Amino acid sequence: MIRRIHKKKVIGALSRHKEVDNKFLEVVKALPKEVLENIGNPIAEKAVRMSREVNTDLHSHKAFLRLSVSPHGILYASSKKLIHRNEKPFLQFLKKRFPLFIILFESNRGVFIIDHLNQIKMTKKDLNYVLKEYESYMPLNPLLQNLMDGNFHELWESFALSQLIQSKKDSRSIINLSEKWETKVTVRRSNSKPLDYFLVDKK
Amino acid sequence: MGELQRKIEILGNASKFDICASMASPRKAFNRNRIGTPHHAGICHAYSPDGRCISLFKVLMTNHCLNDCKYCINRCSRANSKTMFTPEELAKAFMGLYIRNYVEGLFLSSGVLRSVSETTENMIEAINLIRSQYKFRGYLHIKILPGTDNYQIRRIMEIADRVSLNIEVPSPSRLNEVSSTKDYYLDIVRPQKTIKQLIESGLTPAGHTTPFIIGAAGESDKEIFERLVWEYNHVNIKRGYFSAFTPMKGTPLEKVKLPYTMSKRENFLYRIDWLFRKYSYKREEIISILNEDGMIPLHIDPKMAIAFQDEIFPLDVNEAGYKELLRCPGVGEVSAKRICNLRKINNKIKSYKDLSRLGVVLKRAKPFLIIDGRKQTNLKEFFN
Repeated sequence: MIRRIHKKKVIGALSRHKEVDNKFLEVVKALPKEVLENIGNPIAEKAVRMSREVNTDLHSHKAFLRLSVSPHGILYASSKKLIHRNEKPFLQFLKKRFPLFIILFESNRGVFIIDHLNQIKMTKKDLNYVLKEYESYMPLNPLLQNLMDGNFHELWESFALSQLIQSKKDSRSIINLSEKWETKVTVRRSNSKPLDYFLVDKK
Repeated sequence: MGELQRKIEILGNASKFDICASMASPRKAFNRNRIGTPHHAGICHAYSPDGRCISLFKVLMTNHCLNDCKYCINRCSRANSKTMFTPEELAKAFMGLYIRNYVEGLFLSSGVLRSVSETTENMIEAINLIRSQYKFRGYLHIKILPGTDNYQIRRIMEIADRVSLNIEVPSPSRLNEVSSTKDYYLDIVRPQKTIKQLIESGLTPAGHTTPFIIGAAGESDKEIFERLVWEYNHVNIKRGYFSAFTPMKGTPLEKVKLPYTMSKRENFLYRIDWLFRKYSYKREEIISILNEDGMIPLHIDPKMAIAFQDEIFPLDVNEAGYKELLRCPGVGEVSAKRICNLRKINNKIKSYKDLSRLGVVLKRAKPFLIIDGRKQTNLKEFFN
C-alpha cells in the first residue's frame, strides 16, 4: 500500500501547527491538489514538512503516552510535551479505540474531555478536580473491575526487557544512547509520566 | 502480581525470537460496546534494549514443550524454568496493558504441553475470554501449532485477526536435520492448506504468515526463496519472515559457529522477498543473481544487481512507466507514483533536485536515469 499525501489532511495538520501563518495556509490551500500531494514545488515541500512535524508530535503521544484508569470508566493522561494543537485528534483517536470510556487529557492549554457523545470540551480547571467531578456521577464500570489491581508499569517493563536479543543489537541505532538506556526500556520521544507524578504536590 | 511478573518475564523471553511486524487488520468494528480497534497500524509503543520496536504483547502460553527442535530454547530436554499462564492470567495481563496504552495487540504462541490439542484448547480459552468477557475487538495474532487439527484451526481463525504457522526450514530433509518429532507434510503443509481454505471462506481477515530460521539447518538462500515462492503460490501466505539463527546454550547447536554476516543475510532475504512480493520481480530474475552455492551475494544490493543486467536502463525519468521506474534502484513505490502523477499535470522532472524532493535516493538512482537528456557517464562509454 502506497502511503499517500492527502491535501485535506495536510491542511488539517498545518492548521494545528503552532507557528503557522494564515497567509501561508491560504497559499497552500490554493495549490493544485496534484502539486501538493506529489510535492511538486518548494512550497508543497515546506507544507508537507510542517504537517509531518504536527503528525510526529501527535504520533509520539499515541505511541508513548500511558493512560491511567479510573474504575468509573474514565481514562486520563497528562502531557506537558504536546507542542502543536493536537488535543482534538488525540482524543478522537483514543475515543475510537475506547468508545465505552470518557477520556480526559491535560496539556499546557488546559484539560480536554471527550464524552460519550463524542463531544470535546475544554476547561482550565485542574485535571484532578475534573476527574473527581466525573467520578462523582459515573457508575463503576464492570469491565474494569478486574483490571485495577497491580502495577502494570512493572509488568510491562519486565516484558519489554525480556525481549532483548543480544545478537540483534544494532549498534548504529543506539550508538548515541547514554548508558542507562542500554539497560532500561527505551522510549525515544516523549516521557510518559503517570498522573501521580503531577498530582503528588497537589494533594 | 509477583508470580504474574515472573511468568511474563519467562514467557516473554521464550517468545522473543518469534517475529510479528503487523498490527492492523481490515476487520470493521461497528459496535460501540467494545474495547479496542484493529485498524491502526505503525504504532511502536517502545524499543527493546537491542533497538527493536515493541508493539504487541508477545508471549507463549507455556514454554513446556514435547518437541526437540535442536535450535529452540524451549525444547523438551533443555533445563530452563518452565511455567504457563492460566487463561485468566493472560487475559488480565494483556487487557490491563492494552487499556493503559502499553501495547497494540496480542501475539500468542506456545510450546506443546502434554499434547497439541490440549495446549491449543488453553490458547482458545484465553482468546475467547479476551474477546467475550473483556469485549476486546483489537488485533490478535495467534500461532497455529504444528499438527493442530482442522476443527481447532477453524475455532482459532474465527476469532483471530491473523494466524501463523512456523515452517522454520525449507524442506522435509532440512526438517529431519533439526527435529525428530515433526512431520513436514502432516504437521506443517496440511494445516497450512486448511488455513488457506478457511481464509478463502472469509475467516481471519489479515491472512496468515510464516517465519523461516536462517542458518540452523545449513540451507541455502535459494532453497529458502524457492520455498517462499511455493508458499505464496500454493498456500497464499501474506508474507514470510526471516530470523537469523542464534545458537542457544543448552541446545545441540550451541557450539555452532556462524559467519558474522548472518544478520546481513537476513536483511537481504527481506529485500528479495520485497522485490518478489511488492515489485513483482520474476522468480528467474532473482535466482539469476544468486551465486553458485545458491547464496545471495552480500556485497551488492539485490535490486542493484538485477538492474545492472537489465537492458531497460538508463531510463528517461519523464517517459518511463510506473513499473519501469519501480525497477530503478533508489526509486520506491511512493517516488514512482509521485513522478507519474506530476507528469499527468505536465509537471516534468528537470533536475536531480526535483527527484530528491520526491523522495528518490539519488546516490543509487543516478547511474540509471536520464534527466533532460543528461545522464551520469559510466566508464564503459570511454571504451566503446
